[in-house]
Amino acid sequence: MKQIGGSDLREVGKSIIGRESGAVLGRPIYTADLERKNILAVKVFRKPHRDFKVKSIDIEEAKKLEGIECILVPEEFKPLNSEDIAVIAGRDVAALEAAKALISVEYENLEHGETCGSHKSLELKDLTQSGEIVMSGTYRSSASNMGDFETPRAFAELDHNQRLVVLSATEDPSKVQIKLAEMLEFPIGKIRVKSPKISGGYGGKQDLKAEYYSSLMTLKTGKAAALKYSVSEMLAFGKQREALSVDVHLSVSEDGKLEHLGIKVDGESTACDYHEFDISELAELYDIKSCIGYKPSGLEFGINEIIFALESAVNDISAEINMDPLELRRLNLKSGNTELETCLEKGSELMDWRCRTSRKEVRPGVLRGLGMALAKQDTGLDLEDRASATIKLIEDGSFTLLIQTKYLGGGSETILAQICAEAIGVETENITVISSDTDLTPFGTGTFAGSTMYAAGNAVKAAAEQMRRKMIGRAAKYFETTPEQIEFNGAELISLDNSDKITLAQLGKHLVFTLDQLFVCESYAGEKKDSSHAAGFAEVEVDIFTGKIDVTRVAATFDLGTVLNPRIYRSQLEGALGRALGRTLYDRFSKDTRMDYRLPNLVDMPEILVEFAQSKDYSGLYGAKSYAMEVEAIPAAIREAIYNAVGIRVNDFPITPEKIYMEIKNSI
Amino acid sequence: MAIMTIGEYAKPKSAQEAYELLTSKKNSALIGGGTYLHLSPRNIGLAVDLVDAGLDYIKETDDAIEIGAMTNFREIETNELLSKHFNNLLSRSVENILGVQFRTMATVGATVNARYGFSDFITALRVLDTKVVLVGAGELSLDEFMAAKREKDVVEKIVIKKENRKASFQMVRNSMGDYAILNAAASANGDDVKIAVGARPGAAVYASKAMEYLKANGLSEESAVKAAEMAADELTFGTNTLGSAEYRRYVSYALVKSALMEVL
Repeated sequence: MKQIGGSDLREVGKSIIGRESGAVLGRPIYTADLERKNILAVKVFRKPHRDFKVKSIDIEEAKKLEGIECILVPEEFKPLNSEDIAVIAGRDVAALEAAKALISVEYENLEHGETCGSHKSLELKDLTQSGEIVMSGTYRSSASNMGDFETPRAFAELDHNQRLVVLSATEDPSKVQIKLAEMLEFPIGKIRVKSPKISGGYGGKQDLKAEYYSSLMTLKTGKAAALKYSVSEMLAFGKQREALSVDVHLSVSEDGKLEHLGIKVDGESTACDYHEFDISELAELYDIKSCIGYKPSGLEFGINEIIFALESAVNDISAEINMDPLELRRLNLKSGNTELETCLEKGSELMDWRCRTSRKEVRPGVLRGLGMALAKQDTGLDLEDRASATIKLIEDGSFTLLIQTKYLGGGSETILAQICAEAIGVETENITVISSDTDLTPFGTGTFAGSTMYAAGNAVKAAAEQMRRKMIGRAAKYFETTPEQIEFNGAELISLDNSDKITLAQLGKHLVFTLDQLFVCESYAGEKKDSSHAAGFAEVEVDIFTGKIDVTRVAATFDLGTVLNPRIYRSQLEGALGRALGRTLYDRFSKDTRMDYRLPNLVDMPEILVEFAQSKDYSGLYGAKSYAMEVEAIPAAIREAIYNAVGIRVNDFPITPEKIYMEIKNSI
Repeated sequence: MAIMTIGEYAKPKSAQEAYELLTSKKNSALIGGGTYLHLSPRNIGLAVDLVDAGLDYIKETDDAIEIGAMTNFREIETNELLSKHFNNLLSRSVENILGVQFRTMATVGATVNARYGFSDFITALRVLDTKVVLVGAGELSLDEFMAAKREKDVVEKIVIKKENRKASFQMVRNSMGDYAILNAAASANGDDVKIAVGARPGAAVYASKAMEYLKANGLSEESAVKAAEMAADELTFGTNTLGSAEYRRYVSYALVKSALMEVL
C-alpha cells in the first residue's frame, strides 16, 4: 500500500505487526491459557566447595531423565554464587533430585587461598593513644543466619504480552528488575517484579536470589518456573552475618573521663590488610578525645556487634575505676544530647538502679544482677535512603497510596497510611496502600536498616501535602473561587464565600467523570543525618549450681522522636528484643541444620518495660525518627547484669550456662 | 534437601494389625506423632499410621496406670489422673518440651520406641515401676526394653505400677525451647530410691552405685549429697553441641542433689 501525499509522521502510519497476534502464534493469552499449570520446578546444582575447580561436567544422563525440561551448564548462565555450576528445570522437585544424582562432575582441588600472617598481628594498642588507665578487651559475636520463615523464592512466567512477570520475596523489587534486565539482557520495560508480603528480611533478601534462575528458565522454555530455596540451602549458601571478633582499646582518666578509643574488627575469613574506618558515628555517644577504627577490607558487618563491644568495654572500664557504669555514662555523655540523658534517667527509674547491689541472693544458689548499656542508630544517611510515593484520589473520595517500600512485618504500611491521612486531613481507613509492584509503584532504591518508615514516610508526606493542595485547588475551581476561600473538614470542602459545600466523594466522582483525576507523585532523599538513641537495662538471675541465666526484667527507653503508632512501635521493639536475647544467650549457628538455632520461647522472655522519651521537635516527619533496631544496648546490658550477679564476664556470644558455670567453678 | 517419600500408606484399626503390616515389608515404618520422621531424607515403602489404632487413652486399673502409645505429651501434661500420682512427675517431665503445638503431636509410644537420648519423658519413666507392652515381644520392664536389641515392633501401651512413691524431675535447658542439656529424676518409696540421669547425651540410665548406697544408708540430707557425688562419678557423659561431658558431670551433681532433696 502506498501513502498518498507526503507525511512528516515517523511512527504513526507504519504497518507494524500487531502485538495482539499472540493467538496466531499459539501463545497462551486467554484466561484459561493463563491458569497456572505445568509450572516447572527449578533447582541449582552446586559444587561442594568454592575452592573446587570444575574440570568437566556431564549432564547427558540427567537430561534423558523423564520430566527433565532443561539443564544449563556454566557457559549458559551467570552464577549468582561461585558454587553454582548447573541449573535444572523439570516437572517437580523429585525429578530434579533424581537428575542431580545423575550429573557427574570432575573437580580439580585447588589450594586454599594464602593466609597472610604479618598484617594479622596489627596491634591495636600501638595505634591508639593511651590515657591514664587503659583497658583492652576482645568481644566475640557468633555467626548468624537471617532466619527467614519463608526462604527466598521466585515464580516467573510470561504474561499474555510476552512480558516477564516475576513474583518474588525480595526487599527491593526495583533492584531485582534492573539486575534481571542486565543479566538476562532483556528490556527492562518488559520485566515486572511484584513482591507480596515478606516473611523475614533482616537484609537477607536485598540481593538477587531465586529471581534470575527461575526467569532464565522461563525465557529458555517459555513455561512458568518456580525456584524455592530450602532451609538447608539457605543455611549453606544464604546470606549470613559472619562471627566477629572486636578488639577494644579504651582509656579513661582517674576521675572517669573517657579519653581515647580504638576498635579493631576481625571476621572469620582471613584478613590480609586492615583499613581505617570511621567510628565517629558510634563514639558520638560520648565526649571522647580521640577515636580510631580498623577493619579488614571487604569485611561487612552491622553496627550491633560494635555497639556490644564498645558498651561492654565501657562497663568493664567502669569496674576498673570502681565507678557505677551509669554514673560513668552520665559523666561522659556527648554534651547537649538531652534525649539520651532523658533515656538514661527514665530507664534508671524504671529499674530502680539506685538500689543496685552486687551478688544479691534471691533464692538459695540464685543471684540477681542489674546491668545497662547505650545504643544509637543513624538515619537519613547521605542520600542513601530514598523513596517515592504516588497518591490517587478515587471516585468514592478515598485515596490509593502507591509505594515501592516493602512490608517486612514491621507495620510500615499502616504507619505510612497514617502519615498520608494526617497530611491530607482524612482518616487512615480512607487510604488503600499498594506496595512493591514495579508496574504500578514508583521507582525506589529500597530502604534499609530500619529507615523504611523514615524515608518512605517523608515521600508520602510530601505527596499527601501536594494532594491536599490540589484537592483544595479543584474545589476552588468547582465553586469558582480562590483556594484561600476553601476549607476542608476531613469529609467536605466548604466554600467560605457562600457556605456551599461538596463532599470528598462528590468531588472525586466529579473529577473522574470530567477526566481531571488527581494523581501526584513526590520523592524524598535523605539530606541530613539524624540519630535515634536508646538506653537498655537488664535484670538477670543466675543459678550458680547450673550456670542457667534467666533474664527476668528488661527496661528499654528510646528516643525515637514522635511515636507515630505506639502499638506497632512497641511490638516491633519487643520482637527485636527477642532476637537480641537469642543472639546473646541461645544462638548456635550451624550450616547443616536449623534444629539447633533457637529463638527464645515465650517463657524465656523477660518482663519488658518500654518507654519512649518523645522529643518536642515536630519538624520533618512530625518529629519522628527511624525505629526498629535500637535494642542493641540489651546484649551488653545482659552481660553487665551477669557480672553484677556473679562477678563473671563472658566475652563470647552466646553466653551459655556452661560458660558461666565453668567460670564460677574456676573462680572458687 | 530433606525429602521423605512414602510409597503405600495404611491406617490399621488395631495394634495387632499395625504389627502385621509393619513386619510384612522390609521397607516399612510407623508413624506415631510424625514430628521427627520427616527430618531426614528417606524413602518409606509402607507407612503405618497408628492414628486409628485405638491407642489414645489413659486408664486406671486396680494396681496400675495404663497409657496408650498414641497418647500425646499435651495429654500427659494436663491429665488429671496422672497429676494425682508421683508428685505430678510425668507432667513435669514433658511440660518444657518445645511448645504446646509440638506436645500435641509427639506421642508416648513413639518416644519410648525410639529410645531418644534427649528424652525427658523416658528419664521420668525410669524412676517408676514401668512396663512396656509390645505386640511382638510382649510385656517387658522398661529396663529390659531399653537394654534389648532394637527390633521392628509396635509399642501398644506403657503400664506404670501405682505405689506411694515420691518423685522429682530436674533438668537444665538454655533456651526453654531447646533440648535439655541434662535431665535427672529421682523417686523414693521408703529406702527404695531410684535415680536416673538422661540426655547425657545418651538415654537415661540408673546411677546404680548411688542407689545401692542409699539403700544401705537410708535417704537423708547428708546421704543425698554423697549419693549425688557418687552418681556424678559413676555415670558416663558425652559432648555434643549442647554441652561438654565435663559440664554435664558437674551439673548432674546439682540436678541429682535437687531431685533427692525433693523426695526426702
